[in-house]
Amino acid sequence: MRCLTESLIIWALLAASGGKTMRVTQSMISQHTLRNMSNSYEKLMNLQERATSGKKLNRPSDDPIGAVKSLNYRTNLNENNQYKENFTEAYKWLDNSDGSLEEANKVMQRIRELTVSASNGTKLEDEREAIRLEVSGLKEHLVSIANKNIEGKFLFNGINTGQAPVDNKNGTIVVGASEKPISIELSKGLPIDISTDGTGVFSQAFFDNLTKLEQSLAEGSSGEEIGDQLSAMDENINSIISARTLIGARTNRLEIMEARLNEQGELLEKKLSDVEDIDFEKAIMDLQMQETVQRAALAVGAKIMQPSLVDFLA
Amino acid sequence: MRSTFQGLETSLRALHAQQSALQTTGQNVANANTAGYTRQRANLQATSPYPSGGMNSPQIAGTIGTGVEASSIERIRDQYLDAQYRSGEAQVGYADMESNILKTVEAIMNDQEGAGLSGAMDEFWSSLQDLSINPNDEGIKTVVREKAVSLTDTFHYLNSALTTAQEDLQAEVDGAKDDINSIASQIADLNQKIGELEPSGYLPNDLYDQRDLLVDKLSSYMDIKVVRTSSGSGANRAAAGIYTIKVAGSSEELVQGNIAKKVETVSNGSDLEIQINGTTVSSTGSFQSLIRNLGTDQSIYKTTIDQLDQLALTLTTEFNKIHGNGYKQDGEKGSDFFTFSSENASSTITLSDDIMKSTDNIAVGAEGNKKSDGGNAAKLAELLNPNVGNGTIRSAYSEMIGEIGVKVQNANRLKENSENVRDLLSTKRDSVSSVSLDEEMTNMIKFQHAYNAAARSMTVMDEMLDRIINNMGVVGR
Repeated sequence: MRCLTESLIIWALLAASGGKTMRVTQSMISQHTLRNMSNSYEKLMNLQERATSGKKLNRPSDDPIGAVKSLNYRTNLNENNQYKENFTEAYKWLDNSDGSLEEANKVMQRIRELTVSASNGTKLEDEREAIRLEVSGLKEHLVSIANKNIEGKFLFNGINTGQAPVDNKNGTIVVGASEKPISIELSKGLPIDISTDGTGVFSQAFFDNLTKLEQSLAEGSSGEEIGDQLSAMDENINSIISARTLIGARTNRLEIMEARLNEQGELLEKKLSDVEDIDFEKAIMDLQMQETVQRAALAVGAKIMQPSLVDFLA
Repeated sequence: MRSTFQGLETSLRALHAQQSALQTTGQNVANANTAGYTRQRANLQATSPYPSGGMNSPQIAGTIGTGVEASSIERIRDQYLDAQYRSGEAQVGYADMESNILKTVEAIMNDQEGAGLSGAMDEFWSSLQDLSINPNDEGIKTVVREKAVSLTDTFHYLNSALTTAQEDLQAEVDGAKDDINSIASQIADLNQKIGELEPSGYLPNDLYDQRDLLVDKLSSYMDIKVVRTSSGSGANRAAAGIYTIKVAGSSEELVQGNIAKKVETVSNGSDLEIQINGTTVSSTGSFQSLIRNLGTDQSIYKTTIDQLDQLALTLTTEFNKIHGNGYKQDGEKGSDFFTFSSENASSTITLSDDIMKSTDNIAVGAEGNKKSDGGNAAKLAELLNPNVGNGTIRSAYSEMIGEIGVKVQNANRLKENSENVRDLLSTKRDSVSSVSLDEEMTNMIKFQHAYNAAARSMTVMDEMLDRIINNMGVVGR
């Protein structure tokens, strides 16, 4: 740009003088030298600013489109980082829910074993009482799992984390209403449910089944009658398993999403760097070139400005 | 019959004329580096030959020259180039000022390190995201409030920085106005002096130079037009005359003869205007740019503040709307989050008293009466989401930054181009008017030799006279 206009000036000057030699004076030469030197210094300063700041985009006018892009990339990066943090929270919920349900599964398996054992008609009264006590204890344990509280939040009560989903009043178990699941944004405009529908797993029927088993054991029902309740126990187990399957599937989905998010983050970093950062080799080359030009300008200026006819007259 | 002493007189005239030329050369060399100095030339002219034509003039073979005189000492200057240069200088003045002002705005609005409005919105968005996940966390609520305060602070800072920068222009305008008026009255004074000298045939070259330098200075402030009028019948052919100075595109004179009118800045109710003697003038030049950016609707400060206001207004209105639809922890609907005046939102935006009183007044929930519902916080965050298509707050902001960038780029380009044109014209003018030492040295040798030769010619005359006075008629002595 500058080179073009310079040559344009020379051309225009020649044209203006009508091909005749232009009258050139010392002050013109010194002014020209000074002007060129100051241009050269300005270029040097800009290149130096780039090289030392490591950025080619120091203000919007350096590259308005790049400036807008860099603003957006930076915001997207911030967003990306926030989503990554949100993932930590999501995994915490899913892992805790899965752990609790695994525990509930073990408890239900034990209850099933006890049911099988109790359905054996040869069991004595004492043994049945022992089984009933154990079942009763295990039921209490299941209630406590349903009411699991992590960092002051109930795990299985949807967005109503301040309230326990299952109410246990002297053995009468009441399960609260179903609540909307907690969902958090893990990607742009994409909220994902991270809480498990507790009242779906630990439903009123779930606990009613157990209460019924307990009662049968207490009332001294026949082994056959108790055996009939095995299918109800299996139902309970299935509801736990299906909830765990859902969590597993969701965890898989999150892992895929997280990987994509990481990729996106890297891509954004690269794009931001492409827009903002200098190519160091190029910047240093440019700087050195400009330094050479500067030295040449100084040397030529020193040579050309010095002599006048005075120096050569006797 | 010719005079016996004619040759002596011829040589004497030659000595005087060459001396004048040498003195002019000396003056040129002395002022080789003086700003505004125009090289001078002693115009040498042969005096009338002997005999002059007439019925009773002596009859001799041909005419004999009577020598030389320095008829005038003239400035070598091209008025046409002056006019071109001055109009170029006005362009440079304007472009330079525009570029400077825009650069100030750009520096204030610079957001490349994420430290500006964009960064503040990002942080606010993050805190709202955190809140949507942990709706009960008092600590996070406080963080949300602090981030909101920091966002309003950023708006306030940008507004006040722009306003202050604009107000600072007032001092520059006052300075420029005083300078213009002072230059105008100096030109009027010089007109007066020149008008007194020229009718007697003088060429007050140094006064001309002073006046032209002042006009050059003035042209950086305003695009002016110079009209020359002769100062009378006695004036020399090379006389520059009296300058009448008008602002381009206006018939009102700033300087007329020895009278300088005052340039004033007057508000016409909404906009600031430049007036001379009650007439509004507008041109290019740095003064016009100053006025434009200090007191008109086209001011880059004003348009930027307006855009900021609009941004703050949209943000707060939308934010309050969503906030009002959400529920606080106690199940009540949310009240306003921000308060502002719709006139100048960016300077008045603050957090509402309710929010400042207690963070419990943040409407986090979307469902009502659910103690752990962050749905509304998520919706609030959504408002600041940068990628929800066009027309959002974020895209409006990045458009604004892009626009400033483009404006600065254009202004810089205009400045560079107009400077190149001005430099070209300046070079052309210097080519005509500036002192070349080599040339002066050559002239000095030329005139010195002519002076020496004239002295030698006088010696020859002396010897001739000596021959006829002292040595004639003494034959055989």
